[in-house]
Amino acid sequence: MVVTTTLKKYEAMFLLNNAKATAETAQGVTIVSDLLKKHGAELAKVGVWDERKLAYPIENQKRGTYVLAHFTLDPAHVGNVTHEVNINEDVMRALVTALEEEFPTFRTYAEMEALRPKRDPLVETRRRRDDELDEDDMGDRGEGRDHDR
Amino acid sequence: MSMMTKKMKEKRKKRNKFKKFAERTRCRWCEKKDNCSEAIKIIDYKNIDLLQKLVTSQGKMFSRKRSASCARAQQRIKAEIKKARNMGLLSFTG
Repeated sequence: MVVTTTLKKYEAMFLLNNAKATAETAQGVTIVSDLLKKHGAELAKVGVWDERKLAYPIENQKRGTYVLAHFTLDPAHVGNVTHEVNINEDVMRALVTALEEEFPTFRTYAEMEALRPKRDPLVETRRRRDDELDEDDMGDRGEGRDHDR
Repeated sequence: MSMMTKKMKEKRKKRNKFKKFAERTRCRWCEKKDNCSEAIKIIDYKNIDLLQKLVTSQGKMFSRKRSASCARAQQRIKAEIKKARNMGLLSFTG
């Protein structure tokens, strides 16, 4: 019986130790692409997403390099990749997510920032609501003092 | 006295006017689009600035009423916040 495997599309983000991989030398990209190729992944795009301060220290590191990868892989091998990542000392965290559709356009954090609309609709609605409420809002104090007299 | 009641009535009317802003009938994400599943794709663990607006300064998620999202959007927000926290993009606590 021939078992046919269907390849699936994945997006993965790796958090690399800055001591091993800095954004300038693009060492991180080679680390990740070697790791993925080892398990038979077909790489569509691998690149540094951002070098940033971490929200909380991970492995005594305050900063880290994020590498984003788009690739196709046999679903049976995803477990091997995550296992390898856990052993690897260069990679501090990794997240592999399956994609249902085509690969999204590869955007770094800086590119995402540039595309963001200047006036956020969230802020705008809040501002509008505040403006409405400011219109002679007396709270619980009543309409005016003179009326009672 | 009669004047005051009139004023009171006006005030009550005003309050009702504000009420329509307080309660939304439609989800913020799928308000302008028909397809909800397409609209909520903007909620992503990489979109940190957006997720930052959906949590308190202590890092807790806002309620559905506060974030004005439908059930499906709120579930997605929950999942994406957890991914972002795990990757060190978003803090667990303030």
